[in-house]
Amino acid sequence: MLANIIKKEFLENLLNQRFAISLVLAALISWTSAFILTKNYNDEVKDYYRRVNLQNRMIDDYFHLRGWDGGLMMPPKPAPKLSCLVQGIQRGLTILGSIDENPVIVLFPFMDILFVIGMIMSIAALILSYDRLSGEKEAGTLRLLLVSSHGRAKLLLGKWVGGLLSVVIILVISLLGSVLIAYTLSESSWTSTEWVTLLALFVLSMLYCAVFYSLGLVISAKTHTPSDSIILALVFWVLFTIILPTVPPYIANVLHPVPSPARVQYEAFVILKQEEDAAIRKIQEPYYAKGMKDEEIRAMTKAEVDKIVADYEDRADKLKTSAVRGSAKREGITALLHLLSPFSSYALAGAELTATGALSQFDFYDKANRYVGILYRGYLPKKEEEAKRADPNFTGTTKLDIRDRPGFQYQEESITSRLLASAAHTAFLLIYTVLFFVLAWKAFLRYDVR
Amino acid sequence: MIWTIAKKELLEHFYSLKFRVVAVLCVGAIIASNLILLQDYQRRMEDYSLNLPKEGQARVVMKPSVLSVYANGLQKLMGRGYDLRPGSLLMFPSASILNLDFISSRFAVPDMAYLVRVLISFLAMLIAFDTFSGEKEQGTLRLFLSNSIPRTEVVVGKIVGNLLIILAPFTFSFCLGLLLILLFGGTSISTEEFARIAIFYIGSILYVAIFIMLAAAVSSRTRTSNTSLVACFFAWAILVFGIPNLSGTIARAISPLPSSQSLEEEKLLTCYIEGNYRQARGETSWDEIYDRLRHLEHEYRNQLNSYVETTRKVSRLSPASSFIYFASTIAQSGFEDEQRLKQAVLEYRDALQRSPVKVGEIHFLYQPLAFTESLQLILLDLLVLFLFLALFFAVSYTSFLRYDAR
Repeated sequence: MLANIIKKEFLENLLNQRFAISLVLAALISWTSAFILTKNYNDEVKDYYRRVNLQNRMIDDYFHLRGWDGGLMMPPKPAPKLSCLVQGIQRGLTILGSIDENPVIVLFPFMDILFVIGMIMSIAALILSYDRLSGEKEAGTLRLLLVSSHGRAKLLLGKWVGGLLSVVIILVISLLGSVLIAYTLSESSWTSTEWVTLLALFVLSMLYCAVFYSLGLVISAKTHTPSDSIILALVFWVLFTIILPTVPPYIANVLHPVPSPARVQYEAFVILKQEEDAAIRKIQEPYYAKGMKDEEIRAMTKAEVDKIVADYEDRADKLKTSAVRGSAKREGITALLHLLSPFSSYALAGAELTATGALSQFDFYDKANRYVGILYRGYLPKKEEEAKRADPNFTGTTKLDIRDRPGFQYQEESITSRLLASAAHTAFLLIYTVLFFVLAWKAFLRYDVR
Repeated sequence: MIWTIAKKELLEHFYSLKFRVVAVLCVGAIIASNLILLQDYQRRMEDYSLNLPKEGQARVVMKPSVLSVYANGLQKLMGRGYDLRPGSLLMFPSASILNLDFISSRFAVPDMAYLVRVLISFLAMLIAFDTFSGEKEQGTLRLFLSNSIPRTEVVVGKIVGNLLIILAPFTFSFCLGLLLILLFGGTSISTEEFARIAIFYIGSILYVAIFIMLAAAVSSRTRTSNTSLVACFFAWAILVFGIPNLSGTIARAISPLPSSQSLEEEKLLTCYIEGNYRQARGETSWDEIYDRLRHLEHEYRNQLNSYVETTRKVSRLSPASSFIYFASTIAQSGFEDEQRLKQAVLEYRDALQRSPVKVGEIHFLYQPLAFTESLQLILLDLLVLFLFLALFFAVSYTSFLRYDAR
């Protein structure tokens, strides 16, 4: 019997004009964005190789020990393979490094598959669900449905499954088309990791649609006319996708105020430059009063001055570490607040999943730093020794041939760690779905069908 | 007669659930946004005073403007400070820039321009989506037209009524927000800034009116209010998100742009590493190296500028992007302002490179765009907005003349 309700819901949605419009729009925008992003991705790959080649050429031709620090040896970050579909937040870290930064990215946020699904599928799920109960009530068919001995719970479950299936069809068509476009146009080859990731992304998107479909049912079960339902549905949509995702960093700032980087820098400056100098001067003052020479004073007070310098450096270090810890905590709060909106949960989980999120960003810098560490701690000292043995006049400014240095090949994070990174956000989407479904069920049990 | 119809619209909406929801959302969101961005502005002000260059320091810092509460625009770029090295062309962004964590860089800044562009336009559509189709459904449209009122007056009256109903909560919260800024902002607003805020308000009305017209146009081409709502929503989604957010990526396909990182790396590696090495061997001179660096930057800037121009052309297909350009320019954080600031920073850098000993004597000079210059710059975007308004009005007018009221 449940199958019948599911079938009825599914077909009813499928033949709905709203379904057709949602499908066309979602497919059109997601395919366009996949097409353009893939072209961009190919450009980014070229850009990456250009950067790598330039760096290698320079190291091969001009490397010497002095003047080359770890920063110059740091390998560039390749574009994540799936950035032809998902832009994620990979640009967030690097966006402000140059005076010639691209201003367009600042004015318009990224348009990727996560944004398209996040905006359009949520509204599609809502406009397909908002009148599932209140609409049937108005049409009078809800009474007929309840005449048969199904039980309300079964009826609601049937409506949920059937309706969600129709939403999933839109999702499948837009996602599958985008993936096909990206796969055929992308110049990099995909491995099983990418396909598993995309499968996980599909499940995540389905969960996201389920959140909004269940929300639509709650609203439908709490209102009595479809025109009221749609207004409420749109209001919730606005809250979840337009307002809530923008405020977390500001609220986190209020909940956990941290001194800004400028203030920390300034306070460290005061400690190290002004207070430290004053303390040293205080010790040296009596000797100056006696009319002793600079060198003598310096020699006599060396132990004391060294202690003061160490003390103040310690204080400045403590200040900086506490600031770093504080802002890490604040970012944790921001991340927690982002969980409040299914839209940002979905966007952040999707970014982590496709290796375009924050953790993959850290992962890259971790691996790259380790590589530079190997170069500077293991490889280069050995090279220096060899060079010194071969040429007694060797100094830091002599060119050093390091063409046989170990190479760096960035491996994107494994699929398990990506799944783990997106677990919290995914879990929240699940909680939202269950919560909304239970609310819908409770409201529907007491729904006046007359 | 127009006024009677408008009044009827006003009263009808005034007692509806829709209006209550719209008013609460509008007032709540705008006040919250003003408070949030005001606090952000105060933080940036504090940072600014801490960051001011100390004796003998070659540093560029930009004073934040209270107008960023209205439109943040390119503040993220313009608010960056730079530490310069006299005698060289190197520069480093200073620590104050990363106020917000980068997770949130994916999401927009909730300034007033964002709320008008996304939220208020959405609420306007919500108010006006059933202008004609709703009355037709209820059967009242026939009664309406059985009186001897010309259809022109019905169209105008209904649109005016709808516009007033959305402008009432918007204007109220706009004024309340301004009052809050004046009382708790800890800053005085100059006459010029007042004028800029007033123009921002007028532009916002124009933008909201476009969406009222669009809703009326959709409503006069659909038969049931349900269809109108869905069609309105999707038109809104394409205009507000689809076109503006895709235009940057589309423009990139038309006029390609290498990443700014690749430029910075090339500058560092070819000029400082290679140049240094060859200069030490007498194969080249610093002048030559710097010329090369300037050449690299110049090439990149040309590409960047043509890319930005392409984006602007493509994106003007939607009133939402024109509105962004309008709002950021009037708030002194538009493309031209950023260009101008960049120019000033580069001139300062070049002056310091030529005569590094005079750090104390050479000053960083940045003259923000004057009021009249900003006005000239927004003309084009205002014109685009007017064209959209006229277009949607013409569509709704002609369709309603032929609308089947049965």
